[in-house]
Amino acid sequence: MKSILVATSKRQGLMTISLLSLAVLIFTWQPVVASDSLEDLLEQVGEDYAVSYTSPFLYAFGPNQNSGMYQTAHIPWGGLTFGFGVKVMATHLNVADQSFSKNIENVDLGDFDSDYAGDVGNVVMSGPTLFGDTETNGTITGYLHGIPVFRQETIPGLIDTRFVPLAAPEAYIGGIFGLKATVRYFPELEMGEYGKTKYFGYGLQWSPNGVLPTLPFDVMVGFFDQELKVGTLLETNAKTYFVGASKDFSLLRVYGGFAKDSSDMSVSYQYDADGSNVSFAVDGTQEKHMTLGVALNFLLGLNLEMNAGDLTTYSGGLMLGF
Amino acid sequence: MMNSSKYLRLVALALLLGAGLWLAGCESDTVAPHEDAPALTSEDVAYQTAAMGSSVGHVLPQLVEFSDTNKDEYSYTFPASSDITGTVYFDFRTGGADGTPATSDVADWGRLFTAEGEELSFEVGLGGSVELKFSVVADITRDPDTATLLVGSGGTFTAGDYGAVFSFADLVVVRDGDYPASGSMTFVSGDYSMTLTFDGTNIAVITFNEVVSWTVDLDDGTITPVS
Repeated sequence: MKSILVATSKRQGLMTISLLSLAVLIFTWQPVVASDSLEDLLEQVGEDYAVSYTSPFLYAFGPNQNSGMYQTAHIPWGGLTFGFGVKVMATHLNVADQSFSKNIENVDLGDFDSDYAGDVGNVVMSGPTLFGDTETNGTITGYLHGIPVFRQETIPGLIDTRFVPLAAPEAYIGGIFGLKATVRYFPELEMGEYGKTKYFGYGLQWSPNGVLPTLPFDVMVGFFDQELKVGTLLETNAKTYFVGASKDFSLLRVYGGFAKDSSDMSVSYQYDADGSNVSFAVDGTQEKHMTLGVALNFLLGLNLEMNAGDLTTYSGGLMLGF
Repeated sequence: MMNSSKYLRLVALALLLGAGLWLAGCESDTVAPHEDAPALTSEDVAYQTAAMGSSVGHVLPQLVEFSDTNKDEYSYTFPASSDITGTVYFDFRTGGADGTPATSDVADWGRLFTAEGEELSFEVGLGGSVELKFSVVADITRDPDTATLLVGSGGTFTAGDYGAVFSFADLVVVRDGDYPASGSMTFVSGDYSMTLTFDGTNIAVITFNEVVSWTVDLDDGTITPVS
C-alpha cells in the first residue's frame, strides 16, 4: 500500500512539473514572439492603418480571455479542494477578417504624400490583417478626383491563421459553502526594450447546490476579471459574469452556461515615419456568449468547450485537482 | 411508465443535443472593416472621363499610323517617352471583318485590342495613372488615312478600386491627328453616364444628364465647369 501511495505521489509530482512547464512555455513564448514582431510591423504604419490591421486581434482577444472560465459547476460545500493547470483558448475568425479595407474620406492627401499637400481627396487602406497573408503587403492608395495619384506599400500579415490563440496558467481553491476562487497569474516577465509583461486575473464562483440538494445537476454563478500587459505595446482588460450548469456521467462531464462579457484593449507604439507616439484603444464587440463543453473525469480532467457569441472561441485545458 | 428522473435526463439530453448543433453552426462575425471604395461624385467621374478621353488621342490613331508590314508581329509597344505604357495588338484585313488578312498599309478594316491581363497604363495629368483595356474595330479609309470606329467598340477603365466601361459612337481618328476628328465616347462609372464629344481640337465637352457640363482640355485632362 505504501509503495502505491509513493508511486501516486511521484506521478502527481511529475504531472505538476509538466503542467507548470507547459504553462511557462506557452505563456512566455506567445507574448514575447508576438509582440516583438507585431511592434516591428506597426512601427511602419500610422494609427488609422494600425487600428484596422489589428482589429481581429483587438476584438478576438477579449473573447479568448473570457472563455475557459469553468469546466464544472460542482463546488463542494464542505471539503477543501484546490488545483492548478493550464487553459488554452483560440478564437476562430471569420475568413473575411484576414483582410480589411478602410477609407478615410475628404482628407488632406499631403498627410500621406507631401507631393499632394493641400489637395483634398480620399485614401483607401487595404491589405492583409495581422492574421492575413504574410507574403502580400497592404497598400495605402490616395485618390484625387477619382484617380489614384499615389500608392504606398505597407506591411504584410504577421501570422496566416484564422485562430487567435491564448494560453493561461490557472489555479483554484474552493469547497467552503459552495465558493471557489480562481486566479490566472503569471509573474512579471522582463522583455528587454518592450518592458514587462504582466498577467493577472481573478474570479469567484458560487454553487447553490448545498441549499438546493434536490437539483438533478450542478449549477453555479460567477465572475472573472483579467488584465494582461505586454510590455509597452498592449494592455487588455476582460470581465465576464456567468451562470453555468454541469452534469456528471461517470467518466464524462457535460457543462454549459451563459455569460455577459466586456473587454477592451489599448495599443501604443512609436511611428517610425515621424517619431510620434501612436496610442489607441477599442472596446470589445462581444457582450455575451453561450458555452457548451465536455470534461473527462480522468486524464487530468481534460476539457474541451465551445463558446458562441459574436465570435466563436474554442477552449481546452488540463487541471490537476486535489 | 417513465419516471421523472429518466424524463429529465431525456429532456437534458435533447437540450444538450440542440445546443451542440446550434453552437456547431456558429461562425464568428466579421470584425475587420470591409468598406467599399468611397462613392464618386459627378465631378470625379468627369475627371475620369477626361482622363479616358485624353488617352484616346494617343491610342486609337495607331489604327492608321501603324506601319509594320510583318503580319506576324502586329503589335505596337508605346515608347518610353509616351504617356502610355503597354502594348496594343492589331488585326488588319481587306474586305471588312470577314475579309482577307492584310498588311496595315492596305487594310480597309482594322481591330485594335489589348491582350488579356495586359492593360495599358496611362499617366494622368493629376499625377496618377489609370489602366485601360481596349477592344475596338474600325472601317479604315485611305487617302486621307482615317479610321471610323464601329458599333461595339469600347473597353474598360480601371482607376485603382474604381472601374468603368466606355464605348465609342462614330468616332473618327486620323493619321497624325492629336485628337479625334469627330464622334463621341460614352463613359459609364457606377450610376453616372457621361458623353464626351470630340471636334478635332484639344477641347472636348462632357454632357451629363443631357446638359453640357464640363469642357475638357485633352492635353492635360483638366476639366472646367460650363456655367
